Amino acid sequence: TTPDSIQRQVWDGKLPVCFVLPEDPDVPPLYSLVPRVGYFPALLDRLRAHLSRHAGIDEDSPGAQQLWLRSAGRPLRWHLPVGLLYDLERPKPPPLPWEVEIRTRDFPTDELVSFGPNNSLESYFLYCLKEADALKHRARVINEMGEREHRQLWQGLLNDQFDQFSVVNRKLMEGEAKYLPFRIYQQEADGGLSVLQCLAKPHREDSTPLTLSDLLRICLPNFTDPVTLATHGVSLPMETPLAWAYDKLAYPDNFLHLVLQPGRCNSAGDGESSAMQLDSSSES
Amino acid sequence: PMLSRSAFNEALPQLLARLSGRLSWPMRLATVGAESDTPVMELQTSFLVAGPAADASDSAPVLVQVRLHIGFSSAYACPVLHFCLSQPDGVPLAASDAADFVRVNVESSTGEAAGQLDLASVLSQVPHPQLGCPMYTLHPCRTAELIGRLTSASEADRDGSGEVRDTNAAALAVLSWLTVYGRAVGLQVPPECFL
Repeated sequence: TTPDSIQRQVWDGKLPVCFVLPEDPDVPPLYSLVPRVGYFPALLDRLRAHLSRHAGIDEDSPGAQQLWLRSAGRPLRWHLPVGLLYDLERPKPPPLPWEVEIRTRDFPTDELVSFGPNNSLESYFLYCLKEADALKHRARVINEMGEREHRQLWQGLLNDQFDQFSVVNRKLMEGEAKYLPFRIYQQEADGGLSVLQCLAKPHREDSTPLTLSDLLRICLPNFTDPVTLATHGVSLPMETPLAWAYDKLAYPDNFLHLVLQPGRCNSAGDGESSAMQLDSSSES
Repeated sequence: PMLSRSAFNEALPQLLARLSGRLSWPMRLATVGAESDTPVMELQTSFLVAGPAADASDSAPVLVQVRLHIGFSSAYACPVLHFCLSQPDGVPLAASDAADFVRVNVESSTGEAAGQLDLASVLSQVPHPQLGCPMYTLHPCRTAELIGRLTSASEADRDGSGEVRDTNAAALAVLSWLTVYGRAVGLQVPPECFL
């Protein structure tokens, strides 16, 4: 299977971000167009270079080395993809460019994963890929790949090289999956984040495709309020097959990251259009 | 045979009893979340062990406080360790010191020469899947194989269902796994726990 236009659109999605340093307002902001499917810690070197040039903060200093990011008064959980973090912001996604604060003191060690030479973002990305493949293929496909292919996946993502990434990722995405890798996120009012994950097969007992509403019934058995599941900033109709959504909309880490929002989604027959039309009948 | 989350949950009280019978550390079972309608449970414990010596001339032993959560990964269908490492006063170990601690423990128990172990490919600091706080974990990618062999050896799959249903067998399989993986954090499981 070759990657199609929806997968390419997902890869190409970017968010304009404005990085500011509140502790020194004289430092000019750093503007960057950040891939939605990428990670903030990948920008740490650029941020340190910016602080070194404009704030007189040496790149090797403790402040630069223990740098972290904040948005709307809360630490950014930067192990999550950038687009997911934006879509989780409450009460609603902030205006663009998204203003993100750089902090050089008081790294919240009990809340944020620390990325650095002893804990690389690359090895965390691989940890996610391994778990996804464990769910799909009992980790057979990822374990059969050598270190060279693992590196190619990471380098492809880091350097925004879709083809370099896809040629390897195709192997992880094809074939029958035992369970589909997904997570459902709900940002709580107090700033906490609830993350739901469970075992979901692509098909129901009667072999028809499992839908998103089936998924909600499995993950939240006693939940009755009307809700919407969204990904990449787009609400999905509840009758969407999970396997289709996974194939088109999974992030490079091979997980479908879904945001739970209160309220009912406008389904296809409503006459309202959403930002990205997802038409399952048009794909081959 | 595969271990399931419910079999793991059912084995936890026996695991706790076997360990707390021989180890005087604080130990408890905790429910940290839910997966569909199955509770996500862990055995949580905390202990002090000798850390790697800062340098050869140090006469005072360096102590490391280990906070250990023994849980279950549904993705890999096997137990999984999450742990925090700190100085006895509670200050978290620096990342390089944490890596050294695990490396020294692994090398002294497997006898692998220094520098040959690619720690980065098996040790990561990650958010705890239910609690969200940063903790170290050992990648479970090869654990599933080990558990499969351990549970076969203990006749756990008597009804041929492919799933471990015997609680005693499940507890012993998890204990065997802990004997191997616990060494990475300086945990020595006393042989009497198996009796």
